[in-house]
Amino acid sequence: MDGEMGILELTAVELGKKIKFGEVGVEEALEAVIERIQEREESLHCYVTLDLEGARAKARLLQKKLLNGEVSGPLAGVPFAVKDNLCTKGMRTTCGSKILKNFVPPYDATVVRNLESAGAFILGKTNLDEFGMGNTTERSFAGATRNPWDEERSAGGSSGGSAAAVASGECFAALGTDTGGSIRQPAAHCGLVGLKPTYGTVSRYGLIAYCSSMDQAGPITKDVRDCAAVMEAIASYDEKDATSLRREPLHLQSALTEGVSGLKIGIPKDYFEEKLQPEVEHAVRAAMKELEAQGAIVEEFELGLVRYAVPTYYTIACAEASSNLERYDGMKYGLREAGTGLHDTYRQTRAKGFGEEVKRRILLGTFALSEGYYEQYYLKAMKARRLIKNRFDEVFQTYDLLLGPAAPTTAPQLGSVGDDPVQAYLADVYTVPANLAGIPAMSLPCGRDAQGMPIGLQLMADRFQERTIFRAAATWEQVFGGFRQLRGSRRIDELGQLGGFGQFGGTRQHESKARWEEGMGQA
Amino acid sequence: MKKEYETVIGVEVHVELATQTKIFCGCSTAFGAPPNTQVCPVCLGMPGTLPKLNHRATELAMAVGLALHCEVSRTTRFDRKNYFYPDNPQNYQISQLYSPICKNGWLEIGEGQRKKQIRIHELHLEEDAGKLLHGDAGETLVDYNRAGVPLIEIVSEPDLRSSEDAIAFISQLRTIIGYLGASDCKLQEGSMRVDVNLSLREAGKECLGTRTEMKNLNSFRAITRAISAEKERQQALLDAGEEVIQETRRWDDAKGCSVSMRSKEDARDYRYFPDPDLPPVHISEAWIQKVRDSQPELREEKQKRFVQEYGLPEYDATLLTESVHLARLFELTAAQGVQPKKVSNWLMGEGLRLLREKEMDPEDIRLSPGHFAALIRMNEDKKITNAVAKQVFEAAFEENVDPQEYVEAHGLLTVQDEGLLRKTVQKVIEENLKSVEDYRKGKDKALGYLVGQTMKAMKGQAEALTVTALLKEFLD
Amino acid sequence: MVNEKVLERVSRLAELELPKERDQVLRDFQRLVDFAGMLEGLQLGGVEPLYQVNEEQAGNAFREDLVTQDLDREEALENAPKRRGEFFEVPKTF
Repeated sequence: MDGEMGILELTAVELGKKIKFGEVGVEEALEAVIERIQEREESLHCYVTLDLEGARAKARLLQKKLLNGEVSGPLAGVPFAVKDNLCTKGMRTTCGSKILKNFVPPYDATVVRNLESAGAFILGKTNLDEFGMGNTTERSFAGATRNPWDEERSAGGSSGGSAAAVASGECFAALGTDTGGSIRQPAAHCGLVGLKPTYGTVSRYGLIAYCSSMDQAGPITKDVRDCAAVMEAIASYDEKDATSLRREPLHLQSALTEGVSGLKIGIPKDYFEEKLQPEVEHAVRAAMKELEAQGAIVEEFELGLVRYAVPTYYTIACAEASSNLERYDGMKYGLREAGTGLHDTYRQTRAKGFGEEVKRRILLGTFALSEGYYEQYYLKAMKARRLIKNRFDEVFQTYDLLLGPAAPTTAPQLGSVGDDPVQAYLADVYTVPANLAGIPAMSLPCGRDAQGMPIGLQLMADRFQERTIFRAAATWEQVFGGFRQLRGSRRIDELGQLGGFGQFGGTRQHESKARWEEGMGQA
Repeated sequence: MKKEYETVIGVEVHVELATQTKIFCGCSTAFGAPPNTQVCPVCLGMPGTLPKLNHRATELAMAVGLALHCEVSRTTRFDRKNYFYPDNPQNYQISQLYSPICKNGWLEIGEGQRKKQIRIHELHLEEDAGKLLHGDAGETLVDYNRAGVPLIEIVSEPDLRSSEDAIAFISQLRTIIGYLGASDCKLQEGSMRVDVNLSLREAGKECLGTRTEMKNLNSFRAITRAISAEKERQQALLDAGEEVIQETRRWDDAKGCSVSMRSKEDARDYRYFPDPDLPPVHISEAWIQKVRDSQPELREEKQKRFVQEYGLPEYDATLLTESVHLARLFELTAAQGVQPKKVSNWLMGEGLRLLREKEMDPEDIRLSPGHFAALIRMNEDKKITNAVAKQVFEAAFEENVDPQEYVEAHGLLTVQDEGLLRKTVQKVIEENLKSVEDYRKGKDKALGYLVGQTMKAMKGQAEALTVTALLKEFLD
Repeated sequence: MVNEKVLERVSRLAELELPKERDQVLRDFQRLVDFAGMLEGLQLGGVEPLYQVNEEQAGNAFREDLVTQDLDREEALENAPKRRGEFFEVPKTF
């Protein structure tokens, strides 16, 4: 056994297997994570709340249960992190907001309960953009999260804390939530796999609502196989959630070895006309070629409606959010600021409790729903949403999958979000359509740019077709490699030509400790 | 010259549905629980919680709608009504604006020539708010037990023209809803709440005047008084050449006047939009039919049947069927073999009197059909006099005493002992010689007086006819 | 056209106190509204709004009328900013 560094290299499924066969203990794995946290958490700031003593107790208990067979499964004994907008009973859940700074839910999110039923345990709550509103995890009352690949950069958002925690080894896998790309984009920026499931697949009970008609929780993991395992653990029909669906079993494991032969993959031409970082384009096109070589039929086409997706998304998301966030008023829970009378108390509490971005979105959302503007703004966006969904329905008549970039650039510098609030929104151009249409979408690594920052590609499929995504994702990963290989992989500017993927190291074995340190950058 | 105005009234009635649980969560709706013990994360509006629709509440709404001759929507949705108030945990109320569950119904009020149809604009489901209380030191306290209780709101068209119309409409509504078992509709307890919209229209004109909305009407009396006062207030304004402001007014029954609650400036913008947490409800023809089929006999049918089956006059049938509980008591008692008309007379006479005096609802009557029938028989068999029967009826009304036991325990059987009777008649004659003289002079009234005195002396336990016969025997 | 009056009204509806210096807020608000207004260019005649992405799949989602007790009073009041005995205490209403 390699020692602690070795353990942290393992994926969640690999760890689960070792725990099952007694090669690694649950507490041993946890201590490795804790040591990494002690090394890096102060600068990375992935977590809002850490409960290490609680985690140790859970680990001890789980070890016992594993030994006497009470608990089993691929994720049993694996330490997870959970985004801090998912309610955890008895553990503070803040949503990255001052207004919920001390809120301790008396209930678990169903997704959390499912994870724990699978034998995994939670060691803490990760940082996020306040209420899920943002794509850099800089807008949290708890401060910014840094990207483990380059601490001057953002880890993406809003599930930046979860992504950074997985990428830095501060947990083995994590849950995030995705309303407009908040799982997929941080995963891309941190070299991980992130999946937003078909809307309705994962229960929203206990997921603190931002945009109810789009929010979905999902996995952020080191590789595709982990992603499949976590998905199968958390997906369930939930009778507490009226938007929850009864679905056929996902059968994701078998998809991992099915290959892409005969799959028709569409490439939206119009995604490549936007402000796309050239290296991102190169990496994605390289992936296209490789999948073609693996037997897929790859074809470019005009998607359309691309420039309407982001304004449609923001109008709807802000409208729903303005209503969902009305409950934060200082009366029943959360922060209360003193005011002169009832309305002043509301106004002071909300003004002081919410950050600027949240307030901006509440104002826009309220406006879009208000008398005289409802038709022009909200209703129009709901109609545009229908058009976008119809277009995807149409497209998926022809294609099994769509492939494109997950984000227009790699991880931006921290503090680079300027004065224009809309500028940052435009980076969501590739991710919001999947939320609008309710379709599944995954981002996974496909290269690194000249600065060494990870590049993510996105796969989208029709509703209920997660399996198809996993087929392509697993195929790609087998060729390109997962998280471990990414760290050791050459950067795109070091490659002679595109193609010849043996250079990426494909099916290489575990890296040595030295390689690990090199790849992870300064400690 | 003063203009002639017609009063135009519409009502909005909120009714608490008699389900076991709240509309969007499984908390109990039982009355009288200690504060904040019938709450959960959902009805407290805690972060991350989600609503789930109560099936029974939906069916009851359909049942009421069908009984009001409404169209039941094949697809119905919920909308959020957004406004900040501490009794509203989410600061939005889940209600229905765009696609209510029922619409375009009607209800008939009045008798014979004066019968008219009052149209019902719509009926929709919504959730109730919590209760605000004021503490000793003037602080405001909130109890969320009531938050989330299912309500239906019934909105009439402005077809009512007087407070009589309004009362008749609300009574009819209450009867129908009571028949369905959908609610106990108690104005005083708040399970039925009425808001009145009133405007004055110039006689002969088509268009409606500006209307005001009146709230806090907790009794029929308050409704009547409020309508009258508002009519006068608006008339006075219009006569003085001023305009009626569209506003909501709060009725103060103690003071007999209303106070403005909100002005037009502050007109609420509720930003209604479809609730994304609740998918639309699809109501099939089959379901509508099932609800129709399982409807109990409604008031109109029962009324007709009482006339036909029991040979009751229409007047009796109308009164008896006003409450399904009263009607049930009637039928079950008649089924015991006593004459229906007798049962009816008791209920219409003593029954309604006691309900009024004791401020009871028919469903609170404890008298069982068995005891009621026994009482009637005892009276028929002359074991007890009418006066005694009334006394027993009153005792059994609230406590269902066994008439036989009660009469025996209190020694109320009609006195059969002729000897005692004769002695008493003798004594009364001796003590009332003036009346005796009057009677002999031809004043029949005096006989009545003597009968009365005898009855009094006998504590009502003598048959009046017997007494009269005896007196005549003695005096003639 | 979005102006300070509209912003004022919206902030009242949202119970959000605005800073005394409104310029930045107004500018941002205008920017966001303009951004949302980019949908003007779309042809939306005859298009039905999309309320539920799973409108075809989702059957009726009902709950049976059976009592459950998920929380006791202590848990309910635990997070209350101000509590008085069995009640939540809130600023005076009229």
